[in-house]
Amino acid sequence: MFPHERSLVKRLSDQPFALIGVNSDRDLEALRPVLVEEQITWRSFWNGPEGTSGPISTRWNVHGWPTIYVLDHEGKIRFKNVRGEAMDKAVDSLLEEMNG
Amino acid sequence: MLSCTALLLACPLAAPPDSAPAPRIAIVTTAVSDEPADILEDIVDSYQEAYNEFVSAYRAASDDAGRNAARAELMPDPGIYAEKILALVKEHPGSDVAWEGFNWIVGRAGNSASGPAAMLMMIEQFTDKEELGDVVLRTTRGPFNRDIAKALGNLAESSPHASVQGKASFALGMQYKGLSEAATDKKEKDGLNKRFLRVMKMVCEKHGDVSYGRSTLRSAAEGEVFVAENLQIGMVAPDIAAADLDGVEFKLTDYRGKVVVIDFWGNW
Repeated sequence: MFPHERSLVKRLSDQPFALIGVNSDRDLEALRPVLVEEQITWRSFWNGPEGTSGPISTRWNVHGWPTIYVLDHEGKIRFKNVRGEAMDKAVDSLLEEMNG
Repeated sequence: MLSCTALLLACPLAAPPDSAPAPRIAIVTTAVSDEPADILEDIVDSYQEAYNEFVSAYRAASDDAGRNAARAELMPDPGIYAEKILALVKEHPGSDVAWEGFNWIVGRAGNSASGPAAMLMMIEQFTDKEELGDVVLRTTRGPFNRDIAKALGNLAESSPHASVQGKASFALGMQYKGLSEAATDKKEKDGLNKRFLRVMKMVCEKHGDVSYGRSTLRSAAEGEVFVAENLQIGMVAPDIAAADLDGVEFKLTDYRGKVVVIDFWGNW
């Protein structure tokens, strides 16, 4: 999962695009070295000390990880649970729509 | 087991060279029983043996090709065993064996052809059982069909246990949701979606305190309603305001004007 997201973020670094994580690790200190190793440069909300039972994932009714939402530049939900290439395509189509 | 014993007896190294010829051993097999409980046990055991055989071959395989071969050739199809169990327990409605057999089917082979039939019979034959509550929650992952929805509706009304009434109601709501998602006719889709929302709101009001896993039915039903009302394609995503991994507060709407991927993730 990380390598794909890393390449997406890198490829679109000069575009009006952001990958925002909602991280559900309970232990942030244990996560820090992983952020460095995996070059996770994108920003994440922290779901809190309750991990996968934290407030953000509970409110969004997330029961499977990873769960993906793709929003357009107006904040509208346009795609759900697209992975891999499908995620790239979804993002590209929205950037095109916005620029074109 | 038998073949191992035979091998040991046949192996010359197992016996000292000067020993007398091994006595003939009469092989005693389990007496064939026509007790339904024994027949059920035999079917379940034969599945377990087949499954164990698959697991050993899978673990012994040294590469993906070997593991794929093990999966293709040895992984037993629980549906076949479910069919046998269903045929057996149909003859003994309402019995302990039926309860045990139905549980095996809905637990191991819920998506097989026998799954929905077993679930329906289980609800009908064991309406008063409190343990039925957790069983019917399995239907929330499908399959979605009107017969199951109807049975869940009946159970929600006729079970003497508050927890079963709540769990059956929640499961009924999830059936409406699944049926709505599968419907192609717009009017039908909307109608089912309305029923789904109505049932979930009723669950929050009437059955909210019933436990559901580590949480409650209220939390589960509220989550479903929130998704339906706020997280559908075309809706503006609700804002998130929380701290980032460095403790700095920010908001999702800070990124308005950009295409945004929200990724719920964790390092596990």
